[in-house]
Order: sequence, then structure tokens, then C-alpha cells
Amino acid sequence: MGRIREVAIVGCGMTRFGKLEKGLVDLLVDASLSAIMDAGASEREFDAVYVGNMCSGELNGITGVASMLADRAGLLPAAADRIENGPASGGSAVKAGFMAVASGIHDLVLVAGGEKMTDTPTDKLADIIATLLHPYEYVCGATLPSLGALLARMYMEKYGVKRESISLVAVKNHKNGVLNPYAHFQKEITLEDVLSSPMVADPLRLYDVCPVSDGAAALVLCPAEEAREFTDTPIIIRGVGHATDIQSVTEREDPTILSALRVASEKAYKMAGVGPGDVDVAELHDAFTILEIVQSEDVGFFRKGEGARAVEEGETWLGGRIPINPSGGLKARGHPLGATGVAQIVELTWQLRGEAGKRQVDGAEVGLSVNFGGFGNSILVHVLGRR
Amino acid sequence: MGEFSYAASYVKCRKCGRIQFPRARCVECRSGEFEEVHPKWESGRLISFTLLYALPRRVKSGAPCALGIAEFGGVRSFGQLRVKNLNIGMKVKAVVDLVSEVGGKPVSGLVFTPEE
Repeated sequence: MGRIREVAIVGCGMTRFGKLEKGLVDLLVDASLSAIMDAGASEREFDAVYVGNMCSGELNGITGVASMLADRAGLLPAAADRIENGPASGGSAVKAGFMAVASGIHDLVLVAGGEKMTDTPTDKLADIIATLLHPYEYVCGATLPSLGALLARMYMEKYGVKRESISLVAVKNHKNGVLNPYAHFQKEITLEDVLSSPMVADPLRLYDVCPVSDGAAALVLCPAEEAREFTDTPIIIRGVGHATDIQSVTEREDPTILSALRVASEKAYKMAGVGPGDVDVAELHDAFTILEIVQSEDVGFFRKGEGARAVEEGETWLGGRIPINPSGGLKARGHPLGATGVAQIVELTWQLRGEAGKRQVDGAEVGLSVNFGGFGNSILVHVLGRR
Repeated sequence: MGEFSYAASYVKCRKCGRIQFPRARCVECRSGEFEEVHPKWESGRLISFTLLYALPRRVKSGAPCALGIAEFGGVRSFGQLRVKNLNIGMKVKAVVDLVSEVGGKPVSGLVFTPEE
């Protein structure tokens, strides 16, 4: 890698996630202004805006949302792009902002992510999201939850993992969500609640699956050497990794392994100069409970097949060895598609600044996020640090 | 129809021999030379399955719809299942049949059934 500038996060903000009244652009404006206020950058001229959004055309009947945001949030004449990468659109927007600053092309950049989903009937929504799957799997009736279910059954069979262990992820993440005032769900659930909730795609039940949410999140980025102009607690984006896997899960050598995550995390660790053992807190993409477990292994926290045991033994709970999804994750914070990858970084920024309130991971110095697009065919990893 | 016009069609790379969905260059060795193959959908082994209750509108068979992944020799494929008692490892065969409607048009895919 050639010489690049170190990039700092100097402001962050988000809307609450949930079923919200406001439209997509208003949500993006709210999150952006709170990030700009947080950075104390209200009077500054921004060079560029990157907006992570998956489906504004399909769900809201609008396109060109990035320039709309720039207009309404007083950011003209900043360059504005919408970044679409499925459910990893937010992570890709963060990457775009990082590259713009790291390369020296832009100095002050706003990254936002948002989605407005709850105006669309659930079956129509599931169909629109399923269009990112391999066309043959789509034709057969595959949806994202059905692929999650097929993965769960292969994983349980291969590693001898019990059904109950997987659903503990939902119990943990709901417990964390109670501590997050921005979370869609702020209510504890029991294992019994998960196991008696309606079946979505056997063996996954309703509480194994993330909700449909509206919301937006935003970050302000600048070169690290200028960060002190904005804040005493800049957070550094130390590593970024992004990789692509075979689209159809049936064609992957071992469908229980997320190869794109292995490649992306290796690149991010290398850039950051850290390893999985150095990570103090992580935000993983638990669109389905099984995904948090599989990702916790392929990102290097646990050996393959050991992720479920780690949840059972409390290692990934708040107070454990490596707390995962202190925000509540997609499961409890909610999953407004394009917002998620940005919201993960917002949560890690709060954690590393020591501003995460009751869900604070004590002394967290290094944080990691995984944003999962397609069904694992496009995965982004970001490593953040206090230095 | 565009993207959705084919049903479980497979090609074989002339250079490395990998059987795969049609693509411009081989997923394994980047060669662009392929030949058509018609896998025998017999003596398959079911490696995963799900009963999908939240059924997309394009599937007309009624919920729950069983979906599965099965291995047939060197080819692992995806399909709908018409099987009463599902078990991982069970022997299945497959036929090409209508599986859904996309853009108002019926489309075909693999349907797995038990093999005695």
C-alpha cells in the first residue's frame, strides 16, 4: 500500500431506529446535522458527501438522494454520491469517505446512511431485497431468511451445535438494546420467547431475524492531523477491508465459511497493525442470529464451530471477553439497510470515546465492525482505534 | 425475463473442469472457454433444507415451501423440495419443473424428490 493520510472520525450522530414518521431524506438530514453539530463543524464547508442507501428508488420512489441531502442540509456545493452495495451500502459509504480523505482528494467529508422501509408491505420488501440473490436461487423462491436458515442447519449439523445456542444471540442483543436509547427494540426477551415465536424459515423464528426499521446515521471525517480542530477525542479509522465471494451459496466450497469475511478482515487487521485478539468491542451484522456466530469465527475471534459456545459461556455479552453488538446489533437496534454500516461505526465511535453510557465496554481501545452485503458475497470490515 | 430466463443451467470450464453456473469467465481459473453440461440429477444427497413460511409472492405453491441444497456428484444445487419427512443426508433426485412466477411468467427450476 502506498502512503496515505490517517483518517479521523470527528463527529457522529444518528436518529433513533424504528418505525418512524419522517421520510428518507429528512432522516438523513437529521442524522447528518447531529454529526455535524457533534463535530462543531456547522460553519465549515464540506468537500464531499457519501450516502449509503440500498433502495430509495424501489421503496420510496426517489433517486439521487445524496444531492438532495447536500441541498437540504446546507452542504452545497459539496460533491455528493449515493453508494449502493445492498445491505452493506453503509459500510461501502464509510469506505468511500475514508478513501477520499486518505488519498488527499478531500479534507472534510460527511458520510451518511439511511433507509425508509416501514411504508412498504413486508412481503414486497422481502422480494425487493431477495433480488440481490443469484437469479436461479431467486427463481426457486429463496429469500434472505431462507438462506440464513439453510446456513443455520448446515452449521448445526457440521459443528454439533444446538438450536437453542444460536438463539441466545437474540436474547443477548435484546438485553443490550435496552441500554441503547437509539435502538428499535428496548425490551428484554427470553430464550423461550425466541423458541416460541412464529416460524419464518425453519429453524429460524421471528426473533432470530432482525426487524424492518427506518433510520439514519452519519459521521464526519477529516485528516487525523486536523482532527484536534474539531474534537479532543478523535477516533482513527485504522483499517478497512472489503472482499467479494461467489454469489450463489451452493457454489462455495464450504457454505458455512464466509470467505469474503476472512479476506476482508485479514486486510483490515493488516492495515491496522492489529489482530483479532486486540479487538475490545465489535459490531457484527446479525441480520439473523446464526450470522453473528459465523462472523465471530470468520473474523478470527473464535475457532470455527466455537462461536456458539462463546455465546453460551458469556464471552460475547457485555462484561465478557469480547462484547459483540453492545448496541443491540441489527436484531435490537434495527436494520434500516443503508444505515446499518454507518450506525455500526457510530456505536464504535461512542464506545472508543467512552460515551456509550450504560452499555460502555470499559477501556475499549480497538473496535471492529462487519457489514454484510448480499448473502455474504460482499463484506466490509472496519477497524477503529483511539490512536 | 432477462436475468431470470434460465433454470439450473450449468456449464463446464474447458480448462479446469469446474462445473458451474454460466458466467463470462471461470470462477476458478478465469478461463472463458466453457461447454454445456447436463448433470444427471440422480443419487443426490440433501445437505440442508428449510421450510419457508414467509413465502415470497412469486412462489405459488402455498406456505410452507421447502427449499434445499443437494449434492449430485460434482454439482451442488438449489431447489424446491417435495418431500414429506426431511432429513439431512437423505437421497434425492431432481426434475426440472415450474417453481415460481416472475414478471407474470412461469419459470422452471429443480424440484427434489426422495430417491428410493
